[in-house]
Amino acid sequence: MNDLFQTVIIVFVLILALAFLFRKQLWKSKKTDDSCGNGSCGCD
Amino acid sequence: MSKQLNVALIGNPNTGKTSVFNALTGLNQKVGNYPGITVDKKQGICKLSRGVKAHVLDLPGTYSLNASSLDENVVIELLLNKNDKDYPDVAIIVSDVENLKRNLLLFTQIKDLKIPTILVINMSDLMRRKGISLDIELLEAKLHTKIALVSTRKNRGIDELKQLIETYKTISTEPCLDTTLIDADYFQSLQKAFPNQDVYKLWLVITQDANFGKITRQELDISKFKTKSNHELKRLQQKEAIKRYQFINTILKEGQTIDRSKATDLRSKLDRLLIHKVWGYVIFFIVLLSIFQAIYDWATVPMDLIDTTFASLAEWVKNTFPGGGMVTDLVAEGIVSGIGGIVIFIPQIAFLFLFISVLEESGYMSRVVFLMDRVMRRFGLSGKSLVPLISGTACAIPAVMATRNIENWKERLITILVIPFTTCSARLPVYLIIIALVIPEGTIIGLSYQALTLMALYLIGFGMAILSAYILDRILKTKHKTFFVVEMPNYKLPLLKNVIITVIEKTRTFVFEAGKIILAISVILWVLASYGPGDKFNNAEAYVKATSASQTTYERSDQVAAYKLEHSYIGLVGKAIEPLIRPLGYDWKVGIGLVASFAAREVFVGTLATIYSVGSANEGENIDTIKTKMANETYADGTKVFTLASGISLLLFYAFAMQCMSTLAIVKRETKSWKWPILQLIGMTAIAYICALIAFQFLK
Repeated sequence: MNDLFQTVIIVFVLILALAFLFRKQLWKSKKTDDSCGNGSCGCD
Repeated sequence: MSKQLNVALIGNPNTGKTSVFNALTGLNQKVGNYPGITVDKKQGICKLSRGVKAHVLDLPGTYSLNASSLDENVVIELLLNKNDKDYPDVAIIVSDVENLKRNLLLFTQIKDLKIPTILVINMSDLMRRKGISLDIELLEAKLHTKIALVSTRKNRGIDELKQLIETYKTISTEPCLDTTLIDADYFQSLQKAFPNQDVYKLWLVITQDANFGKITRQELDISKFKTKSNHELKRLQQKEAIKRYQFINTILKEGQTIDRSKATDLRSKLDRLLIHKVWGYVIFFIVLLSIFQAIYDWATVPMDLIDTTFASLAEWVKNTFPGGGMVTDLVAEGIVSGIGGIVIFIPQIAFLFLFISVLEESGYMSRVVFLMDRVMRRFGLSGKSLVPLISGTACAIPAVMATRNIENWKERLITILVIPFTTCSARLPVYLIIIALVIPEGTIIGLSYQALTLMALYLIGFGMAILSAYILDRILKTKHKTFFVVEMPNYKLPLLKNVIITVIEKTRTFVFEAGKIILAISVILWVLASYGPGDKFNNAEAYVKATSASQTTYERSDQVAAYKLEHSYIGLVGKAIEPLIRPLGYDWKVGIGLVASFAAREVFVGTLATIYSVGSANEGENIDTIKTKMANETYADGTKVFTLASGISLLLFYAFAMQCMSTLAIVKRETKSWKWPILQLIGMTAIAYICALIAFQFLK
């Protein structure tokens, strides 16, 4: 695998991870219930 | 297209309503034994015969339609609003065979709303043991309803209940009580003013308005009616309750026989012991000790297995993936290590929730709530604060939401502010790894030091919550007083199905919800640790060569990796905050963990696993487990990073610090102000910093 291809894969994975963490800010949530919404707390 | 009907499941707390919901829908849901566990509405689908489906709504537990808390109000809001999409075609009132008299109060109120109503008498398997016999036909005739005798424990009566749901249209909607009997003049004038409306619904809207002052009047416009003062309305509500109990007493006199001489009641004997003012606390302490000891004894083997499996997997990835390079490193050090950091805690989390679930299911948890109330009152907390505080051991978010049933604002605010001190499950991974690192493995009177430390951390968290509540109680002034009422459910053998559901749900939530975040952060951290700005990062090898004497290839390679990490992006962040955390005994790598775990505490371990994976585990070298890597971590002068002093300091920091953005968000929403979460953040961080500082300086 050449370096450019590896860098592209790593940047893609990084963008995926960032997009997952900031998904609430990136996409307007349709959630209307009382859960906190981030999914990590175990309440939703 | 199949037909669907709406079914509302309503009942007093602790009647087994949620078990009936589970039996009808098969949905996974937590079943607890102390009041107030059902906070939000839960829904599920129950398949009936001939393609009919029932949409079942599990409403919060309520004692009557004279609600005094917000979650009780949910029930009334739904039952008064025919336009609500969840408005029930049929209501199922779940009662418990031992408390039929009290349960029937709610039944008669809902029946009077003229909704087809089925009465479920749950826990029917206890009837013989308690010496209770019921004349079902007579009760059905007098209450104008259909009755299902159910035992969720023995899985009896559920099919009969489903049949009753299907034939709900045949159930009479005749009311139990003539509402005008409460106050003839008042109710007649009310009916006269609104001839087309149901007088009991009008009455409920008026009383709810008096209790909450904000009910949505979607159907009934009563604003023009000259009603009575709030004091008068309360008096009429009391009169209504008396009239209803008179009606219930008359019916039960004929339809229910209780022969105590036939009862083989163990409950009162056990209660005398378990809530005894001395023995009660001793037993509770022994129960806690046994739980923490068992967690350590039973979870060690699977945890070690998981740890070594993931270490080998990372090694395998490095050796097997074609070409090696950065992508292979990302998979081995970022992704596999990140997942390993999540999976390793499954055994201990599963065991903890197994025990908590057994305590809740058995009925012992309610005794603990009652027992601890004696202590809590002295510190200015309401008895009702105990349920949220105990719920906080799972997660602070639902615990903060569970404070809604505390009527007094000051008590509710104090409870909200101190909940994050109780040890939530997110702290558990942090505690476990640090304890394993710095606390020796020896035992005292058969109890391991590590288990005792874990238990001490739970007690310290609870103690700090109580102490903070005491201080807040002195600062915030109010004249209101409240009284503590707790339901004491019967003792029962925990239902294996419910226990398993709880354990699976909690573990699954940790792995798939918290785990996703931990994994995403692990990947980002790996990138930040594997790239850096400037010459020192890009030409690390040349710098190391120039500064160190001749070394073996492996030693040189390790030094280069460490040098690169120090000058990577994440290394720069860690270095920047190091002066602030050094007095607490932490190096810049731990600093990175602290910063990353502000989002969520559980990220800390994954972060350290990722950071310590980067640069080690070279080819041909025996790969270390996460624990060993952390244990071997040293400062430049060769002294260990994780010592007893720095470990205790770190444990105390995590015990008290407000490392959870989600909790801050929920506190803001519940208090409707940024003031309280900001104060909470500053206060808790200050307490954590000071305690960690004192501990490290004292122990080093």
